[in-house]
Amino acid sequence: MKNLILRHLNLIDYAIWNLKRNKLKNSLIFFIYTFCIFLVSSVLMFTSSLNREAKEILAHAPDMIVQKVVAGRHDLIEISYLDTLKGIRGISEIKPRLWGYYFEPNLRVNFSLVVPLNEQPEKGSIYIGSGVAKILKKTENDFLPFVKTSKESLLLEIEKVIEFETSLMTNDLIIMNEEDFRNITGMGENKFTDIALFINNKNEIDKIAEKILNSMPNVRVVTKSSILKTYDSLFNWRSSLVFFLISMVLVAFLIVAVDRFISINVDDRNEIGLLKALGWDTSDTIILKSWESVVISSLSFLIGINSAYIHIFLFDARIFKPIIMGWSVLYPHFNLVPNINMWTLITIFAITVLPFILFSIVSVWRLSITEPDVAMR
Amino acid sequence: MRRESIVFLVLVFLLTCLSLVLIIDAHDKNSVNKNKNTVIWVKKLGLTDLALFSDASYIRHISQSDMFAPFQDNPSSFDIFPTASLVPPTYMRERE
Repeated sequence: MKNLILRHLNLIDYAIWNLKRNKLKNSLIFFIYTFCIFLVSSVLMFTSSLNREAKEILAHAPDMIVQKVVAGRHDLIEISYLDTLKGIRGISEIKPRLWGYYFEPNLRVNFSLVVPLNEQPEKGSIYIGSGVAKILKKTENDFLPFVKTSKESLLLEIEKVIEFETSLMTNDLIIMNEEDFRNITGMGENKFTDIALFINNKNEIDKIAEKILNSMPNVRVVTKSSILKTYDSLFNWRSSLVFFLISMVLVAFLIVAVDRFISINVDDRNEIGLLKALGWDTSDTIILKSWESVVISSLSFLIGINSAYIHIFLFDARIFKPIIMGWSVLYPHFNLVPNINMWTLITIFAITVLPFILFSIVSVWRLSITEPDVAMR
Repeated sequence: MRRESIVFLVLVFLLTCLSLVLIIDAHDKNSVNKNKNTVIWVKKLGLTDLALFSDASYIRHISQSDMFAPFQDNPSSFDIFPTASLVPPTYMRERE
């Protein structure tokens, strides 16, 4: 046992010494490799944490949203629809929603105007999200001017700035009274943006959705499960956001791995031939080269995942911000709660470390099975 | 001669310990408590979407965007807004 450990320690020493001979090439491989693992792990950690938070938060969203559809487009829904909905059994609460967008031309930014389902602010008062407060440089008790559709202006007092920790959901919101909302948007009485439904027995949701669609043909029903599915597909492995980020990383990684596979140069050839001529077995040379790959890949893997954790959870995913932000003027500031499971780490390991070691072993094996004099020639 | 292998093994050991500490730390943190206030607002306002993207309305409220809207109005369409390309189109989401 002791001999086996000593043998491997010697092989590791020799492998590290060997790596040092090609300092430039190997350090380049090491940096690219570490960077690839860093990016892949950052993407997976970022999306899995966001996904978990989205699921936890949206589990409290309304069970169903009923939208009126006219000529395939979302339209304002009339109060008469409420009566039809009241006639459908199983719906415990029916709450018409009033929400819309308000464009601020000076800053070229879109805010979301929302009227609460219950407990509205008093007329003339508003609550604003922390992103709105930040971009407008306003605090509580300041006044915010709005331009009504009739081009008259309306001053509303900021009663409250919503807590900064909730900005994942409330960043761009301006919450106001129903009367102020109708005043600003010009939305007529008896009209609403859509209707939120709450259902006690969650098993009945699909049945109730079917009943609604049968009794009101010009509506679209968005259930909570489809809302959750939307966000799941946004943050899912196979979906665009992750795929977009990961594809760049995979290309870079492929270049490194293929380089390792095809670039057995004259020096490597001579070295293996010489070692075999000195009496090394094929298995010894393969173990030696495997240790070289293990040294590079284990250090890259560990440094990569640790730095990804630090990037995502201590530095708030700074590298991904511009990608997700797009052209948004308002971007929520949120501290993600880490969500790492062993499967994420095993996946990262399987798609980065294993192929790298495998590529190296195969290339060395191809050389090792040739005779020493042929290899050195 | 033995020095480098020992340094390597110690380094791997320390980095593995750091990873384990971070994983244990991640398990200890609870996002339910952190999101308590957010949930209150979601219930109060009946919110359905994250405020992640605000450059276009159909990106701001992804789950509420039109199903049958022409391509100018749908995520993953030929679009001027960069974030639209990050969101899968409605028909793909519905299919899953």
